[in-house]
Amino acid sequence: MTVMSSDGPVRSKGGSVMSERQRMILGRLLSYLTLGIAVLLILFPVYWMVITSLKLPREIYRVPSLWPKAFTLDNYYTLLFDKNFLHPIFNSLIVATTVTVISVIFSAFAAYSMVRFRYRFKGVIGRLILFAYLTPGSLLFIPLSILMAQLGLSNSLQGLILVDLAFSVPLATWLLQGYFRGVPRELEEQGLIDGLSRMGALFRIVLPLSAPGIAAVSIFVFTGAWNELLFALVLVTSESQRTAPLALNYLITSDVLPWGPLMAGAVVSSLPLMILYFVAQRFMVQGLTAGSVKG
Amino acid sequence: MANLTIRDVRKSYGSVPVLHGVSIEIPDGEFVILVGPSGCGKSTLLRMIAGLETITSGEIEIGDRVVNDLPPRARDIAMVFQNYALYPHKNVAENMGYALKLAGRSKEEIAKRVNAAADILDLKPLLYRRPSQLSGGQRQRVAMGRAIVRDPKVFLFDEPLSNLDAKLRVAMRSEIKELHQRLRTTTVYVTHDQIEAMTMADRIVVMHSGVVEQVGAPLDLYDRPANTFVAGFLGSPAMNILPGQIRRENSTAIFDLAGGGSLQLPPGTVGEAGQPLLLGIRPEHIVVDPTGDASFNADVVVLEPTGADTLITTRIGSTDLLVLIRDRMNATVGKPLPLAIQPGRLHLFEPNTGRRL
Repeated sequence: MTVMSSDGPVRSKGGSVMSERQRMILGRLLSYLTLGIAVLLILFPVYWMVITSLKLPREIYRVPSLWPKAFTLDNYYTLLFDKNFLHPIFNSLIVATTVTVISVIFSAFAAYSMVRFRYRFKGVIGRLILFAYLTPGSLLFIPLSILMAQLGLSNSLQGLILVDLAFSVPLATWLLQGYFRGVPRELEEQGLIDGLSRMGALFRIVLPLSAPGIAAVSIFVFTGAWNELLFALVLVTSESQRTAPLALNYLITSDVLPWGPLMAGAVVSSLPLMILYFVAQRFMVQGLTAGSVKG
Repeated sequence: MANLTIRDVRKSYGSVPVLHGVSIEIPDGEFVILVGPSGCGKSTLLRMIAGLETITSGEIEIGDRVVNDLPPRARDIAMVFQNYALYPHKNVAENMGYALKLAGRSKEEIAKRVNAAADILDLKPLLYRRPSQLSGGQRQRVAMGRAIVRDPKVFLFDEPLSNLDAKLRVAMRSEIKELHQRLRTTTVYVTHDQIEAMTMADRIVVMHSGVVEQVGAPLDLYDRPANTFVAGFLGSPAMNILPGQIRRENSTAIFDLAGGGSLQLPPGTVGEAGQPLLLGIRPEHIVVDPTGDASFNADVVVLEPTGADTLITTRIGSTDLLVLIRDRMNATVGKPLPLAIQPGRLHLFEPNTGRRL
């Protein structure tokens, strides 16, 4: 690039230099255009959700407009005070946080054993874990609801947490295995020689070095549990135990869609996820293990 | 500081045996190198000393204490890995002091000992850098510094120079040797590089397929290899090992090669005539001898001058014979070259077992 900018001595064949330069600019423009379209595709629904939540009902049902004529917080008022939407948000926080914490702890141990130890039937267990994850939830909700009823856990957040765990632990185990494999065995062995126990090596070496992986897995599991609707719909019957997606669903009465409060509810229930992504992004820095061992 | 005893140690993975009863006695302060081709079990043995692999049977003693069932942290050893294994989330000083920190030593003591080790290895300016900011050679030195700081009973090195470029490897080789001469800590060093073994070791243990082939001082192994494996493994270029048999004519011994042709052996050569044998002769122990009577001719096939010396591939009948010549001389490809074997430099081996006769 520095060569190209010194156009004094190469002016005689400036034409070709310029065309090279133009091609570069054109390439840049095309990249930005593509990225711009992608960003637009992703952000437009978000924008539409936010803007609709701020419109008055009469404007929502009129010809769609990109910018509201009058801004209102009526929808939020209805949602938070008439419908008491903060309660299901709180329920969802309990479910998603518990599921995430338990999943990460359980699957860290499971994944570590699968990666580092040799034992009988390890391969079979590994495949079964993946298989459990691949089973569609819509196939399992009837058996699971019967199971929860027999355990006396239906219509409770505990039951919902247990069911969510059945899907998130296999996924988290499977994902963490990949990250643990990326931590060189020698680092752990060095830790053992330096004075750590097996557990110590897991907590002080493998987990810190897999921090990006743990962050990614936590986000995955949290998002999954946060957005889960099917099992909540089947298991939860009373209003006090509803999670956010379920409460949103119950905003719809027969065939009436209250778009304003619905969109306001969508905004409110997206906020925790957005905050989580923003915070965890910091931890998902790659290349933390660079330089420890020769690749 | 401690002696290390390995007593009939065996290792199997399931039903697959990888070490078939290894016994080595290492006195306090000795620098022992385990050398052999990949898969010979040398690294497994080292890892068993470290406690990173279980011992199927036999005993390992460090300083008169059987360590078979002790975890690595209780064995008072330090290990340097081939890929350095530096903690990427800690800086150089923290890497070096980690074992002391885990042992509950005071901050002042850790700082003092880390500084002392950093002085020895010229690591002072790098103490607060992360491993990712260091070059390969520097990382290797940090890994060694981490071992020194602990002042352990035994140093274990697992191919520590394999990831360095050739020039750095030579420099680090003498650095490690100097370090050992200074600290006199019992050291077990694993390598597949016979030059490293020859140059650094007090004693070499040559291993092959899970068995110890020979143990001895480097030059003893070079001068009197116990079998054809050791003979071929140590020394570069490798020893010529020629099948054939001895024939005696008057007072001179002649070796008839199995592939046709023959060569005259120096006077005083022992060995039973008429028996199939393996004749071992190192390329550097053959001289160009245009006048001597104890000489034979070999056709020059390839000439490889390196400057310091010239490696000549010659052929007698259908048998290739490598010759290493230090002096510049006029050899021409395709022409016969008069050669002679230096007296007292022959090795005779039994053809079936490969054992020295």
